[in-house]
Amino acid sequence: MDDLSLIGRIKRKDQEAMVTLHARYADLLYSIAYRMLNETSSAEEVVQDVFMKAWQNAAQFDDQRGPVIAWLIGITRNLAIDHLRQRGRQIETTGDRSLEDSEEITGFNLPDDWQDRERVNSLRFAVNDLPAEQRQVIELSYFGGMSQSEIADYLALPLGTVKTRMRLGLQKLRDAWLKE
Amino acid sequence: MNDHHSSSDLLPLYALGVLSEPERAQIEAWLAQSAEAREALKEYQAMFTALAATVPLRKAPASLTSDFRDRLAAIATNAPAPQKSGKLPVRRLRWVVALAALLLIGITGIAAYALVVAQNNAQTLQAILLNNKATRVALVPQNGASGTLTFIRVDSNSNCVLEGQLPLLPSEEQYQLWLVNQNGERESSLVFDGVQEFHQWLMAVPDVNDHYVAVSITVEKRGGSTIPTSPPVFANQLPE
Repeated sequence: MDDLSLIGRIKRKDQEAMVTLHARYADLLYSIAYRMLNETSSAEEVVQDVFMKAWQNAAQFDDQRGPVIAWLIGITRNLAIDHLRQRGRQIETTGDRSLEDSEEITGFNLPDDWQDRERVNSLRFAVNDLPAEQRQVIELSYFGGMSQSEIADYLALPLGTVKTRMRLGLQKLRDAWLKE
Repeated sequence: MNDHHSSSDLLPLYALGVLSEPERAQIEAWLAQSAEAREALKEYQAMFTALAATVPLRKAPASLTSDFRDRLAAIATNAPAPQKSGKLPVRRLRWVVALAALLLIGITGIAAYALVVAQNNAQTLQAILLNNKATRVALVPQNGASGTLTFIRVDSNSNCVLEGQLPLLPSEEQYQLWLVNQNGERESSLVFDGVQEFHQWLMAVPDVNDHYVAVSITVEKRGGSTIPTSPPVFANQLPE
């Protein structure tokens, strides 16, 4: 059963459909939450809260605004960022750490109807190719929910430097994304 | 032109949700008037969704999904704690006024609690009715009884549902539903009145861990009995 059918049933309060959705995406959302929080119990908590929010707010899901997985990822990011804010933001960026370890990951259980499956790989390589300082500011923004000013404070850099790194890095990612 | 460049730079940050209030207002004004900007935003949103999927894969603990299933079931079956009523003002009031206030608060609290329980029961009932794994067993009239009844149960759910209609009884009598376990013991689940129109009753399963093999309904004195005292008027076996 595809995601949209599942959501239709979840809107009618079908618990089994909700459990199916959970089983389908728990690994992916857990990986994202763990990447942001770097801690297993908080990541587990976030995942459970994500699906509980999805259960409670399924009626608000609008497929015109994107696929189900995008909606779930958005909730995951928001909840993980809330956790980070509560504990005073201790973000781990990849920094000099190579992303090669992620190359062996052949892909998550992404929905079949997600047209961007191939582009995810291109994006992964583009992220890996970014200069460390550009990757760092993007990660702080994406995985840490930080504004450019907050990143500048966090890294003790001039705001202009952060903006430049961010702009250059995002431009490279966008080019890779649109190239496919 | 500068504004456009500035907005273009801010657009991905808008998609990330990390802009300040004035910056967000600037972008939203731009989005409102530019279809090109809206398209670009869609692309960024798709790209950032994909970016999340580039993180190294970690297996979630195997228990996470079963825990979530339990959490959902608990929401569907557990009545919430009674809502707290408002605090009494700490004043020197005459005792009659205080008593009246207490009474009013008590009534309000009970009414609020009753409303919460009723809403919760309705949700629980709907969750069972909509569950595609629910077992539905039509109860067969016995000994000349009339009416139609269906017994609905979801495995491991601590509640079940009876739906249908059956004749009214004299005021001193009520129907009583019994679940029969593997040992032939009959456990009372519901005491209820007849209804002329279709009705749904939510009831608690006496022991959620027990394996029930049959359902029967008898006519008992009002308030119910500890054991069946009359032949069943409805009955049927439950599937394995």
